Amino acid sequence: MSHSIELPNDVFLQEVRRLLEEGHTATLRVRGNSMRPFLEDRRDSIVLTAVTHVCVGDAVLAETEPGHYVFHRIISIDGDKVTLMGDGNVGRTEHCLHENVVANTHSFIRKGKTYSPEGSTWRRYSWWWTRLLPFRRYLLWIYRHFFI
Amino acid sequence: MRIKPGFELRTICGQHIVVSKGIENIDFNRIISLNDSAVSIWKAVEGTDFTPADMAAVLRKEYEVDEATALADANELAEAWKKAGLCE
Repeated sequence: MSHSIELPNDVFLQEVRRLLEEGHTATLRVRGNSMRPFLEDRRDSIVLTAVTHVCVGDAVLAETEPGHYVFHRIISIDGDKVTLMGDGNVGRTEHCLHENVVANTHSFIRKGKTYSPEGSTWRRYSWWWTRLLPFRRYLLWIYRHFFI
Repeated sequence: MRIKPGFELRTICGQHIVVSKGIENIDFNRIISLNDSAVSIWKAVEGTDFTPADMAAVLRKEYEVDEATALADANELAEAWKKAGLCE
């Protein structure tokens, strides 16, 4: 018997955080559109791992406000301050401290296929997608209308 | 039968889920969750050798249910646990 259980994000991710700290990795289904076009709501999954170090360009899980988590890409690091923006967002950024970055990406599962953040597909995609930011609004429009 | 070593029952947001302590990755897309009566049985039989009759006895002790129904439910749960790889 298989069914879905929906859990409130804040409590659930707190538990995920604990599992990561215990040394597990955790596979979670993607919810929301903020990491489009690479990750699609409910179709794709991410495998999270405890944070060791973070770099600009990494997709991470961060607690941007108490109990509020996002899985977005780091767009800048200034000392202890980390700025994030979802690939599927055109201008909205989130800010947190280094210590609020909870998890790094171990791998992405897109359309059933696993991609490493170290792999060429993700790196090539990241290179292009971050540089195409001025055109993102239009690219996302095209994606929404013709690719979903 | 017996619950395989390495499985642990956890409560996350009021949901009872079975987590394997041994495995590295916890896949929340394929999680095994237990309802309240299954949790009672799990706690009662964990670490012991048990039969569906023992599981039925737990159900009868905790809920007002006749023997035949309890045994039928216990058999169904035992099969589900075996199928999920929780028991040996």
